[in-house]
Amino acid sequence: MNVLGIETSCDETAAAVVRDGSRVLSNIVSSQFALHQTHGGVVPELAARGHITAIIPVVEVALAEAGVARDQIDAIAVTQGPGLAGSLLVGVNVAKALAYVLDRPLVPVNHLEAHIYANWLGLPGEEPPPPPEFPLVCLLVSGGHTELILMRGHGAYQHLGRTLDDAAGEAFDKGARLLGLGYPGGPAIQRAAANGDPTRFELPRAWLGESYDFSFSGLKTALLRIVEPYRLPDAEPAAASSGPFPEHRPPRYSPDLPVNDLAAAYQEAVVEVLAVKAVRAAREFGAKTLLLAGGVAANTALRRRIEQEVASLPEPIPVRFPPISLCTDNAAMVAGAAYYRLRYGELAGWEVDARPRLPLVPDEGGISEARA
Amino acid sequence: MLTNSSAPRQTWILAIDTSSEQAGIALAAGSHVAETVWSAGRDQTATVLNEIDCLRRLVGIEVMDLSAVAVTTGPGMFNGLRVGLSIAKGFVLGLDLSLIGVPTLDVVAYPYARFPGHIVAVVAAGRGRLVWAVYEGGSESPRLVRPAYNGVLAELVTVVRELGAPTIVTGELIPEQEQALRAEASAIVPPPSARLRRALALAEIARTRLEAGDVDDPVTLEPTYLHGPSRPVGASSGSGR
Ligand SMILES: [Zn+2]
Repeated sequence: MNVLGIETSCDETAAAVVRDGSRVLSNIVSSQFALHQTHGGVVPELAARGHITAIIPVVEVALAEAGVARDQIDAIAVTQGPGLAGSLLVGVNVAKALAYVLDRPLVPVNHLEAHIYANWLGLPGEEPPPPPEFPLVCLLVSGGHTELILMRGHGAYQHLGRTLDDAAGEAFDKGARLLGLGYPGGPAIQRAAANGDPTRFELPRAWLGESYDFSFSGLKTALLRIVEPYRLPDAEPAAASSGPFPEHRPPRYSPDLPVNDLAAAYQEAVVEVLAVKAVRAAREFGAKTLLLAGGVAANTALRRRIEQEVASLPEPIPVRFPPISLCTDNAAMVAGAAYYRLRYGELAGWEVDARPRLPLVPDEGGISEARA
Repeated sequence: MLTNSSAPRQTWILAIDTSSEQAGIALAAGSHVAETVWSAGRDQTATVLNEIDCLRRLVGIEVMDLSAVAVTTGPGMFNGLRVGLSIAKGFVLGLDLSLIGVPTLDVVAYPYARFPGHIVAVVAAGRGRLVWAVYEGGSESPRLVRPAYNGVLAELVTVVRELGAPTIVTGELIPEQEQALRAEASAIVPPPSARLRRALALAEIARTRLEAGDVDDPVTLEPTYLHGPSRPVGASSGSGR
């Protein structure tokens, strides 16, 4: 079964063709990275505008690279939410119209679920990995989300914890902005941290007792307190802003700001809490696999730290994470997740709407039933 | 499925207009026409395709019978415009149809093309704001004389006053706006039914362009994003979905 996936929840316009939930035939991502970099983050209105002009070529290239004609597509999957309203609706409406004219089922997919299902995929042209074993615990970390999830079977999710304030990706973005390292923050901090000493500065960890929830706002405040004395007055304001969307101007620091050491300490503080809680949850719930998912799962310090934590267990748990290109937003993961939804007959009518705040589990904090 | 054997099997145009909370769709092939206009509010994504499906069945054609899609490009509500453009692009992707984008205010002014005076075409931009443009009537298609502007009622009243008679004001107006404009001696304000933005007008304009071979590039066609002068910097549209 060939599923065409479409993803427009944030600032990447993506389309992919995936066969039987795991074999990636094509995976096309058009990034608005350069556009948003000048604004120090994603501007929702600009992201929505980008999707409108990127969507046709992205879908056409995905079909061409897969070597699949339109009438060989068996279903069309699209990210329904969560995400930016103006961005989501582009994908949802294009997917709907395409499914309608091709007379194929339309499968709305939860973006978080899609990130998890990236672990079932192989790279384009490669043999897919063996499917992860249930029950599993998944640490889903991205720009917008930090969630710890127990999964007992396909589509059966239980929320163990989530962030109470910033997502891990946001924490990296904010930390990078404070350090003048640019956007997106995760990769920028990781690069700087590679040449830094993580032990030179002591940054706080919010353990929140036995809870599986996370909090990163205190960490950002602590970093702010350290860098503030190094800060120089802002340069002359630039001439009138070019248009309705202001450009981001990074802070200026004296050259002796220990950027690399601070980046290393900051990264360590984020990564340690994520790794320790994820491994503790995997142990407590008897997970047969520990999954990493989401854009921050590409962070090598996080991967290393989790593998360290697992190695120190009496019985190690296999750790899985998707290839880096499938960690960040893409449509292959959407098409992959849709395959399982389709198997359980979950189709949408033409009234399906974009849902910017769509939760993974219908009842917040509840459990969704496993499907037979 | 309903079929209607009298429907001609050629050059059907599907017209989609989601420029504001009022949505409209039409199917047209020569004198065979059908149209649906409704108050979609913020539910355009949830309602438009269902309405297209109903209208197609009513007319009794298949999607294969379509040869072009026409869509309004704004100005209007940013998210509303994106709904129409996205559905239109989905049709193009699936069926290789021609795509024709038409400025929303051209569609509003079109029914009054023969009016011998000024035509002020209005569309509601959300949050109480209005977008209007001024056309000169008296020929087959209205001639734009003042480009689209995103403003408030008081500014529109001033524009209408300065234009003098005869001036017709057409398009989306809530009763309060209609009253304020009727108070201007120079203004003719038709009743709501005669001011309604018509997807069939969009289809007619598109038909002329299609026959002249004047179609748009489906990849690059995008809405006209007209910000109001007092719009807060960096604000997102927050309009319908
Ligand atoms: Zn994501």
